[in-house]
Amino acid sequence: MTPGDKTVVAVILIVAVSSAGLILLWNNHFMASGPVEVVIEVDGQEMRRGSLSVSELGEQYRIRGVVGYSLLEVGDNKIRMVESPCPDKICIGTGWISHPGESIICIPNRIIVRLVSGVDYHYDGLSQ
Amino acid sequence: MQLRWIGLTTLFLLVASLQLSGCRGTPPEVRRSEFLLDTVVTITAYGSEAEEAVVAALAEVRRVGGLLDANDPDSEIAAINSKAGFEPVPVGDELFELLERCQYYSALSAGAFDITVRPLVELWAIGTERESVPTAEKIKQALELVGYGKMVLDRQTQSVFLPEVGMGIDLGGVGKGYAADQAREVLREYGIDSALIDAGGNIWTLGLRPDGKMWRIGIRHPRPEGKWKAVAVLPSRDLTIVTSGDYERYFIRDGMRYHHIFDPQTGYPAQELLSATIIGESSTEADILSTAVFVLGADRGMAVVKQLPNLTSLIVTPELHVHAAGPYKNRLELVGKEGTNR
Repeated sequence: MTPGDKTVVAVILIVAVSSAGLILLWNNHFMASGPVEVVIEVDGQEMRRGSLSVSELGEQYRIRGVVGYSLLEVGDNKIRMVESPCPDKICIGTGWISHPGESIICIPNRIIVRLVSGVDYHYDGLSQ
Repeated sequence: MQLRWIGLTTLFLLVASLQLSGCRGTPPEVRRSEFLLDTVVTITAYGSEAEEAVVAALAEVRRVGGLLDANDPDSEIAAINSKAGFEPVPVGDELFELLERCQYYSALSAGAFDITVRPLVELWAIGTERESVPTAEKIKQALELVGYGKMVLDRQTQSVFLPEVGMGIDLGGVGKGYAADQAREVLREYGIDSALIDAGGNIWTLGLRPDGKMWRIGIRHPRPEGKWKAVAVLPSRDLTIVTSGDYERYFIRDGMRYHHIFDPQTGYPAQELLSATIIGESSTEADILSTAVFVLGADRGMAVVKQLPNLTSLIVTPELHVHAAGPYKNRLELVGKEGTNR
């Protein structure tokens, strides 16, 4: 192989690897992202499950924990804790969460706000 | 030099095509739909033989549809109905065996499933232009012509006799299930190990999806609101899932919903449930029992299902409560909040 050939091979490999990366990113971004569901648990009990939207939960969602009332703020496909009776306010410090797998945890008030992938309910066929 | 360029171009195209195909080697998918059995039948299959298999399976559904069509004057069923009150009609092995199975389940369900319901179907004519609420007198007259016990199945002569003029057989409560079973047999004969049969909502799942995961089958919510059309989802492998509901064919008069599944005891559309689903390994059985449970209601219906092995049932009550029982109960994923897995 001449040095020119080597350059061409190198370019092809670089283009191949980087485009593979782009395709992966593309797939993750557009194909794996489905509706996001929010699950709210108090002391291990599921209190609420629904789509992460203002129309479903309202702009503010109040929950009674073990210590007292906590207040969640719901945004455009995101949610955060804004008031909590806990001493450390770690839950408020978490800020907005918006992706499946993320959660807000308030240990003193025993509240877990978890985001899960709503694509769980996808189905291939419908019995009717 | 030219050869080198050809080689390099080939390498590039190879890399690019591998990326586009995702290197997954997904087997070819074949999906075909056809209007059969008064509904749409869709078969999806994977593998090198899928094309031939799906064509043959749909041909089988078409054949079964013809065999069971009471409105086709050339069918055996039409012959039995037209000779009602006059003489027995000899029939082929296949129809005779199917009618025997129907009679068995009729007895098991105390007549909640009854193929001699045709006089009621004709009278109400639901889904046609002449659908209406009949007078109580007319319903009483039609009811006198309904009764699986009156149908005579003679093994010696392999003949079927309906002893009264006006009696008639309607296989609407079993036809789609039987057709789905037959289609599944054809796919298996072709060696297909990944397929989904949807015979108008009667589902058969064969093997696993091509990605190696279980098929996910939704069970229709009888009153869907919001984003989910399903009340539950069942990860399914080699199972059939059949649902009977009051939402399929109906009309509404004076605030009452009149649908197409009749209670052979009252002559009116069954009122106990909004839907009943049976999960099992025979679509014929599941089709029959989903009708029977729908008519019998929660307690009596589930008691019937319990007598048979390996069946799972799911029902939705008029209060939109969901109850499930049977071996796959814990595999059912209930959608949303309106459900208790008990």
